Amino acid sequence: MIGLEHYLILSAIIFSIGLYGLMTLNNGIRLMMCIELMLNAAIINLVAFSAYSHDITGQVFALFVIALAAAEAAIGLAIMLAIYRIRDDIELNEINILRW
Amino acid sequence: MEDILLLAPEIILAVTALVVLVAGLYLKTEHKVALGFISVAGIIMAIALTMSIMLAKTSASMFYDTMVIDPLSQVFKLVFLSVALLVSIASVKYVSEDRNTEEFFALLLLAIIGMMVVSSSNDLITLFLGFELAGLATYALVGFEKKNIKVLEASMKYFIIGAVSSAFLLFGMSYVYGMTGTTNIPGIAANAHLLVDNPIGIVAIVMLIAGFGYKMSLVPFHMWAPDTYQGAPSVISALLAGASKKMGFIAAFKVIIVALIALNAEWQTIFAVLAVITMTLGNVVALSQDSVKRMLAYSSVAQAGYISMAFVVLTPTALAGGILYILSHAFMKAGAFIAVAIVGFMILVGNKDARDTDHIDNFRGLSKRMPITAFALMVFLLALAGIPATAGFVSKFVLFSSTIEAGLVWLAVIAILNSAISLFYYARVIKYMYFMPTEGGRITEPAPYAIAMILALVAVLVIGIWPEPFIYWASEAANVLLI
Amino acid sequence: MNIGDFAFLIPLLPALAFVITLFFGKRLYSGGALIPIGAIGASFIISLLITINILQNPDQVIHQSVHWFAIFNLGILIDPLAAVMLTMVSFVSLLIHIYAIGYMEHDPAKPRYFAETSLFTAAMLGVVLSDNILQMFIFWELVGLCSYLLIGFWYQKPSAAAAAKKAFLTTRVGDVMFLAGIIILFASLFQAFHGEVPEGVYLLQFSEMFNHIDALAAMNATILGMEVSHLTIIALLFFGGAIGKSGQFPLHVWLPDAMEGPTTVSALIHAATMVTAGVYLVARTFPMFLSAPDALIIVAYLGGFTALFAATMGLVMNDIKRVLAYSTVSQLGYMVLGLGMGAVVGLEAIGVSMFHLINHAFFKALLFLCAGSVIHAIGTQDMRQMGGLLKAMPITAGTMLVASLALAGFGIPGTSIGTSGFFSKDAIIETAFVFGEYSHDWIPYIFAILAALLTSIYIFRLFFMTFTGKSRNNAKAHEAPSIMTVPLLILAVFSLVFGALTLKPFIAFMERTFDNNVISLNIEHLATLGNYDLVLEHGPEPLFILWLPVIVAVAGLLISYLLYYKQVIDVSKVVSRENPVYKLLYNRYYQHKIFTELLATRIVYELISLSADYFDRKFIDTIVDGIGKITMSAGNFMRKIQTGVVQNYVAAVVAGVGLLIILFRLIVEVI
Repeated sequence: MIGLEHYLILSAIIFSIGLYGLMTLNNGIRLMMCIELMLNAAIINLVAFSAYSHDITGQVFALFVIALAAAEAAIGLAIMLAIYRIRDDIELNEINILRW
Repeated sequence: MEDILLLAPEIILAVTALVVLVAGLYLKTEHKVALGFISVAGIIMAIALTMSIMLAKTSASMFYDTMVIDPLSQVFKLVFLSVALLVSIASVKYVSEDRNTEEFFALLLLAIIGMMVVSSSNDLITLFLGFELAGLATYALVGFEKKNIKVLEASMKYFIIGAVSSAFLLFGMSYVYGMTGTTNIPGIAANAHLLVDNPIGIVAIVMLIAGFGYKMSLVPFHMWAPDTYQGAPSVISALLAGASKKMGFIAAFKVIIVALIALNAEWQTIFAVLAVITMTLGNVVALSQDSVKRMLAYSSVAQAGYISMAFVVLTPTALAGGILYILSHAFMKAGAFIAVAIVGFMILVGNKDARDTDHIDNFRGLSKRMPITAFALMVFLLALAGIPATAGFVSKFVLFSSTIEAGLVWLAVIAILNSAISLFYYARVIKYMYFMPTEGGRITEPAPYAIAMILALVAVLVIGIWPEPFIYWASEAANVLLI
Repeated sequence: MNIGDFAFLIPLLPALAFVITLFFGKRLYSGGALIPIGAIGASFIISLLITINILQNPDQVIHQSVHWFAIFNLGILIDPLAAVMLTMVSFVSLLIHIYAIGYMEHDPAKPRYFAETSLFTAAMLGVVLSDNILQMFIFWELVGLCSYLLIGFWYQKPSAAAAAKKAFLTTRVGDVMFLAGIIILFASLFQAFHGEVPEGVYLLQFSEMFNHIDALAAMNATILGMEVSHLTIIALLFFGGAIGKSGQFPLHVWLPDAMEGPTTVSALIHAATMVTAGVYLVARTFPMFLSAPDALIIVAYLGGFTALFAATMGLVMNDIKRVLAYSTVSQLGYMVLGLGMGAVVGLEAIGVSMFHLINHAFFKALLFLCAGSVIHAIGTQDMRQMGGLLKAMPITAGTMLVASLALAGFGIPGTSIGTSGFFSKDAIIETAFVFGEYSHDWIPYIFAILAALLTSIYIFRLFFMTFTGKSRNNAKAHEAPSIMTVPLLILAVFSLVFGALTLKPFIAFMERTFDNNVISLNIEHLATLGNYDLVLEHGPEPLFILWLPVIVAVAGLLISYLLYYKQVIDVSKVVSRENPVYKLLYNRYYQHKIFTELLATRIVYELISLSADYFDRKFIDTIVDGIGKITMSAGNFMRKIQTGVVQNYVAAVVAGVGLLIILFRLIVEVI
């Protein structure tokens, strides 16, 4: 029997993978995929809580978040694209004019 | 259905945004300056309506109790709208020759709507939606000059850290929802005892603080702020520091103070640590900055530290002081950034390809070249330092004295020492403006910039000289938080 | 219509003059100088009329107040203390403004100058007539800001800009203490009311503060294991503010550098507007000092030490304005010392100290304006380049002599013949004697007497080096125009006769400050709170004590005369002619050696003065600079954390979350 804990552990693992990727990867697109992982981990949480407590609010929240995540991805891609046009790559670790 | 009228300010802004967006399709670039005036008109109408709702002391809840109208929400809406007014007036000049003017103003208005939704929200879902709406619109605004790599870098960092923080925020919210079984803020408050002494509760609250701390720019979640404020166009920096940052505070007020009051012993300690680190690091690092915008950004970080003291003290006076500080800081910082925008304009008039227009060397002898800007910037800086007869002094005074009154003398001492340090870097800019020789002649400020700056100047001085009504409304707002 | 109803105009008129001169000065005669002069003149007349009114009827002081916000008010309180200050500030400022028409004649930035001095005067007048301490603090900061602008008036000179910054930042140290004092006072009073402040009661009003001294005295805080009364903390923090503004040791460092501004600004700062604010603050809140254990003793010691320390510094300076600057520091030390004597003589201390403040304003303004005349005439501030100006500038020399006599305190005890400085400074020294007599603590008295000797030496050194001997400068000196000499003459008359005319009534008048229709206090009760034993009646001091200050002043004059008028080499002749004993005991060579080289030069100059100078320059500056450097390098280090790489920022967020969770766990464990 799969219980609530399993879902919570799954989402925690996915969230951590996303965080790890954000800290170690360089390519902008990969960073955005990691962000998606983190958001989806939260969505798993919401849906799992919702299902196990028989309360619909969590699933409504999840739907909103899915829509928001799409919008966020669109804006992120636009920024990455603009950077790519100027620099011909999106290695984010090399973009550090603004510092100190 | 008269409830819906209470959201009239938001509706007007949304309609204005759509009108601007559509009208922009049919206008030639040289006529697009009209869009700016439409936006300004829309914002002024929204301000008038918000103020009338506030003065009537209306309290209401709507949409299945997901939105509320109360003094707290109206005060914050006015802060956001005032900053939006300043920024949009200044932007009439800033985007005057850009063919994407309509997008700029539409995004600006949408960002403000998002912030207003946050200040009215009574539910985690609406709060998160508003938070993200404001975030998404400002990511795009920061990256508005899409041919400028510095601007894009600022936008990219803002976006990445913003998205990570939203993920933290959402993850924390999902735990709160899971443990309390509701997303309604009063509902959470009623069930918050379920989070006490629970490891998941600990994780949830830290994640929430991280998520809001990013907008509030608390150390160590502040790292994006100096880069973004420095890289972004100055008018957008004004929006970020003046409004977007305050959205972090109102969201944190609602979720942490109202919903999670049961855990106050724990998060008060956390905020005490964060406030001390934030104000000290912000002030100390600001000392050695050569970019005025970056200096202002660190000063903004430090000011977030002062405002966070309200969480630690948590008395009605302290919260009123915090809200008053938020109000004053919105005008001081927005005004200072607009003044920097004017200096940038001045430098670009002299040399089209100039870089680093906000370098402190460009402020040499500003009192000769642009006396009005120099004077206004001096007042803003003195206000930020907390010199009497300015808004900064009144709010610091209320906040610090409430801290002492609550017996947290050590915290007040640290804050006072910090504000003494801060004077060094503010005085440095004043020294450059007034005591350094300059080359180059007198330049007249463009009217939109000048109007926006003078409005901010008047606000800073009015709050400083006649703070009574502002303190009254700040206390009214604070009372909502601690029922 | 009562003249008191116009009191609000006193600071308002100069403030308006500031606005008008700033914007329209260029188009007006002499850079718009006449507008500030008219405004300050009107302020002076109103102040004078009010003073006369209060003098006739000291029970009816002027008190007006309007609601400002929350539990704060804006108000005007003109009691004897404030009335006298107002009259003095507006009068001296008026004369300095008139003089400045001549002095600043060739400066292109005249409108800015007159606008800023006008605002400076307005701010100082605002400090004086505030009826609550918050409003006072606001004007106090405005004074600081104006001094910053005026000291840096010639901002093209790097030294001027640096001096302006130094003045602003050093006085800020004091201001922060002052503000901290206000906040603690406010919090304590709020506590005394149990958080319920009735409508119409304004906590920070002076009258309200004084009425609740009993409640404050009951509050104690523990600092480093010692029980310290809240009153002592508040009083000492206020005194911290006074130290900064009034240039007391160790925050005096800004005052000598503040000479970088125009000489008229120095005169304004030193005589009328800025430095007296600190003394005034202590006098204003004197009941709090009186009921705070130990506070007055600290005040007395610090004042006495500053008086002596600054006088030794004055001996070795070659810049004419720096000598005067250290002289100001030293004289302010006297005033602070005088206030500290309240530990024994009670309210009389205010009278004595304020009396010296007023007289000092006259003769110090005169000294500065004379120095300005000299600088104006020959274009240097170095006294080694001066000399022999007596013939070329008779009026300046004459008035300077009057001022020097006043500063050194020449007069005949027991009669009413004497310069104003004689009456006021000797009053302080005599009070110090009374203090010594009753508390058996003679240190303040010794400080005061030694400082009096040194004062006389350095001021006559200045006089002889400047006006006598041979000219050491090629410039063709000439007397200043009459617009400059007339203020000199007026001030000279005041320096000569003001003291003699007003001594006794003045001190009695001052004591009414805390006994009238607004503020009425039981002084003996307050002194009991502060553990001070007051001596209300003290008989005439021994004749020797009355004469001693005059004797040391004459001794100082003689020493200066021998060293600087007779040019050192001749000292041996003079000494031998007048003291046949020495002729018998020593041959000429040894006299010369001992008297000039060893005694005068080596011991006094090199040992005391240079070590004091060393201490000042090295030790204090190092500490001040050191704190700044440490903070700066900390900033430089910490900014490197901001690497500019976004992945590192994410790592910081994660680390922050991790650390907070750990912290949170710890809290849960502890609780």
